[in-house]
Amino acid sequence: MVDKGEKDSKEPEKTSEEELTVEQLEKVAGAMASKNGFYLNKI
Amino acid sequence: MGVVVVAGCGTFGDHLPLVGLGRALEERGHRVRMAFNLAMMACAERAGLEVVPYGSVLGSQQARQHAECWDHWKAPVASCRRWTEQDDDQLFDACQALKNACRDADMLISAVNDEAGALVHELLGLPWVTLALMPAAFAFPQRSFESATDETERAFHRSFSEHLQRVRRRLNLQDRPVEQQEDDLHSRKKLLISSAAFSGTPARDHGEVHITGFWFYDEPHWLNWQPSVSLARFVEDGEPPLVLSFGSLPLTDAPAVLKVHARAAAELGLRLVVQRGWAGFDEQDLPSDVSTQSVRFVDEMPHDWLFSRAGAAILHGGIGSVARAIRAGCPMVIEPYGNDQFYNARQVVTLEIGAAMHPHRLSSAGLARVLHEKVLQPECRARVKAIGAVLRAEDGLARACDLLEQWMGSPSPATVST
Repeated sequence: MVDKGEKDSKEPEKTSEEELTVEQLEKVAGAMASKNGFYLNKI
Repeated sequence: MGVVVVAGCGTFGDHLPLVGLGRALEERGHRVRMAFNLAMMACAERAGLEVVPYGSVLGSQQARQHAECWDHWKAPVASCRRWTEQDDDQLFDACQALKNACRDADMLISAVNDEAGALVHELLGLPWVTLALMPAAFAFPQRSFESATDETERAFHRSFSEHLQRVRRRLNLQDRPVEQQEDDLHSRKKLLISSAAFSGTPARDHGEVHITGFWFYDEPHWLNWQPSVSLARFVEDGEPPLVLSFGSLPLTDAPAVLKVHARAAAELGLRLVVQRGWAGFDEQDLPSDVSTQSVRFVDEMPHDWLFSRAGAAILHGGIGSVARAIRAGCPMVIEPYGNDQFYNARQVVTLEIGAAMHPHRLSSAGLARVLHEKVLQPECRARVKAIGAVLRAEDGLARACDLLEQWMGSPSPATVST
């Protein structure tokens, strides 16, 4: 994980509906990458 | 000096770094045999490497036939993927091919998501190292399959475990408890082909993961590559253009995707270079309200040349092109569709070297706004240039070769975890 500690105290930046936030990406990325990336490339 | 077999898995972007590894090992005096699917073999041959056919054919044609499966917003893996007898046959055949390729090998190197590598290691007792080209693989804490409460997810894992068990029996391998099967798919020592400057350090519970730096490999015909006069003029005259490159990602509706990007570039008054790629972007699909003079289509070409001259790159988020863009100091917009692209997009946003857009909610006005307000700003370029300088100072292939040579010489270089 990249430590971006200096950002922690700030409010999350507002984005448009079509722009993806770190939190949204974290959720989908975490689900895909669990278990040594088992889901990755299981197409 | 030993014989090393490198097994490929995935698309062109997954194979190119492996060719780089093959070349680097050969330059150190090792004999290398690449095991690639038929669509990828030419890439190894162009590098002068020995290559044998291995695994199901996956090229642009095969990918386009099932483009919908590459879009994990609409087709989540857990709900869509089930393993059939045909999959059993393919894995069994892959194991036989890889076993034959490893007949005189001192080490087998395979991807963390390639089951055949694990099974052949078990069959032959051969030293074995798994590698992850996708930093997403080790970015998150492990989660036990047994803890999956969602029935869809449980069905997914049950299907995979049963598939693996059937193939193990055909290979005369002993049955394994279901909960152990997926753990056995990775070697104890693992290579992570990433830079700490991009993905930080792996989550702690993945065991012995060695981060090497990215592996950059340039095909021989790229080394002396020169753009045509008209392409050089299009790219270099005036304000730097945008680049749309989705690499080896097939799309279900490439014309619609092209239209949004062409209009966004036009709104910003910027020219657009479109790499056709596996999406098959086509000039015929340009909207009539966008001048054909402001859009240039290209085929496979060195990303380094293109990204180092671009105002910003618009990418699907495959790690190969993301790493190349960072190294070239090029800010980016990521439009992730699946796989590790979500994680790579997260890192781009976290590091503030670009932005990420939802590919199914994208409008040309929204894309133009995000490009103008964030990605094309000098601060964004300064940040990506700083990380790019770190990447340029790393030599991932040399680090990987050092580790592999060290493990080749040790009595038990890489055994499966139990």
